[in-house]
Amino acid sequence: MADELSLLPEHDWPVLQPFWEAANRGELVFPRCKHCGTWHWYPTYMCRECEGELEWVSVAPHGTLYSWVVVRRALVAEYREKVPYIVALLEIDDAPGVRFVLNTTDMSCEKKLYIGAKMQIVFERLSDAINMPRCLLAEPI
Amino acid sequence: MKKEQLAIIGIGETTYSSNSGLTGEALLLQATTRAVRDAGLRMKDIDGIIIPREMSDVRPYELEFQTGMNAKFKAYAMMESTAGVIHAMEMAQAALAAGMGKHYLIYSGANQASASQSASPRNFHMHDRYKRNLEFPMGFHPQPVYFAAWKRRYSALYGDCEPALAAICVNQRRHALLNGNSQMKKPLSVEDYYRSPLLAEPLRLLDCCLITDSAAALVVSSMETAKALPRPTGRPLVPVLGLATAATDPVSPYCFHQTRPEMFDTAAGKCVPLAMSMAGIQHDDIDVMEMYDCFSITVLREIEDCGFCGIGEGIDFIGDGSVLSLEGKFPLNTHGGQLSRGYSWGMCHVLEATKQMRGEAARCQIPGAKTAFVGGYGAWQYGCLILGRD
Repeated sequence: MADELSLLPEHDWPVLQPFWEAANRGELVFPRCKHCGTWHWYPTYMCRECEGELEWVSVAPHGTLYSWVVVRRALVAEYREKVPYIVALLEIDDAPGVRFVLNTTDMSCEKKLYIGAKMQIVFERLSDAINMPRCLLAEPI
Repeated sequence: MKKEQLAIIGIGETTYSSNSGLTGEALLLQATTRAVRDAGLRMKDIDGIIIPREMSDVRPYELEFQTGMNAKFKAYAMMESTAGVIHAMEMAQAALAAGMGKHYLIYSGANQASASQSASPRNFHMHDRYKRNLEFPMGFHPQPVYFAAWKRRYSALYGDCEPALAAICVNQRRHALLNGNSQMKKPLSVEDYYRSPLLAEPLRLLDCCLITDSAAALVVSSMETAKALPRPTGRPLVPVLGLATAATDPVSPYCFHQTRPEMFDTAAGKCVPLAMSMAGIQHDDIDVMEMYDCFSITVLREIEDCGFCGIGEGIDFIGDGSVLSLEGKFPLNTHGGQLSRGYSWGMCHVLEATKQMRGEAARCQIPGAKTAFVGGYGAWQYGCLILGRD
């Protein structure tokens, strides 16, 4: 078995630093081109459409469920203490084109999920530097 | 293309097992020397080594040190999986045209199941810092989780795809048992498929390919050169009728959920028509097809994106799987593929297509097969190769 890795993201990797700084304030931000307005995810150094400069823009913490996976058994050692969880892909309502990966350990929503379901993004503090986005089902069925 | 038509003149491979008891180097030596002997050549006759990136932990110069090869042309093909093998063949064609030599060796392999860390599927994906930071901490790791998300989305949009996936798995297991050199040794039924545990719901264990100790290699030359070589075994040459590769736009390296418009879109539609028009064939002309199968759901999507049917029509096209059987209209993964024979980064598909064209596929042989189709998924990349008979 390979050495276990930390499950904490690198808060100081420059490519993502603005994302984690905003998350620390409880804000969700994604990169958008200043010139043509295209949203980019994952973050790049420049706009892949027009080569323009990107800026991080705050969006409402709302998304639409694109797909999800229920993980009950840890496929790698790092998840041993984390299962069960649901990993979700959300399309961010205010940032068309952004498909965002996050998870929830609230298994009570499992039977209520469907593609197109409205989800809310909340934050969970994992360390001084990392305030991790999580998702919750936003609408009652 | 006709002037310097490429031909596959030698193939070699090892056993497919979960514990070879060999080092990665030893596996590679077996596969490469077998391929070169099969071509009727000596190691020193190899003019070029072109290998897809990250598909072996043995560097070309290490192999040269072991074998006495001294290739003047060495390159990495910047694509992976079967797409990488096909891209390496495209590069061989370019090198041939540029006069860089006559014979090109392409290889992959490692003892992935028993030892290799650097070439393990997990490490392959953990190289990527985006995945390390934006997927791994969220539990979107390793590969079965991505393809579970494909399966969920596909079934929600187009209907329950499990009957089609079961048919793919059962067929390939049947072929693997006929093959005689397969990691899997027991038959598989549709009921077994449905009893298979959910690894990452809705993905089952049997939806996943194996992890295998194996190596495979091929030698390509121009058809003209190959015809002039002595062929003591009288073995037929296998001409490349068409080949092309492409990538999704924008490229989406390792980000299996960022492909547009759907996460499960492949680049097949951008290269398959090109390779088929080079070869001058239609789908109905294809006698046998080999497709990269890291997961059963990728095979379903490839069948659609390669134009055998439309998107969302794969479930009906596959039906109970008889269309894909050895007796069917489009026999698929006739050697058992990576789901049941063993994982080889998709090299095995090119080798099996070559055997089918030579008439050497033994109990898996499609009688009278004249045209073989290889579909090479490689995440955001795709490659298509059409082989014929001399």
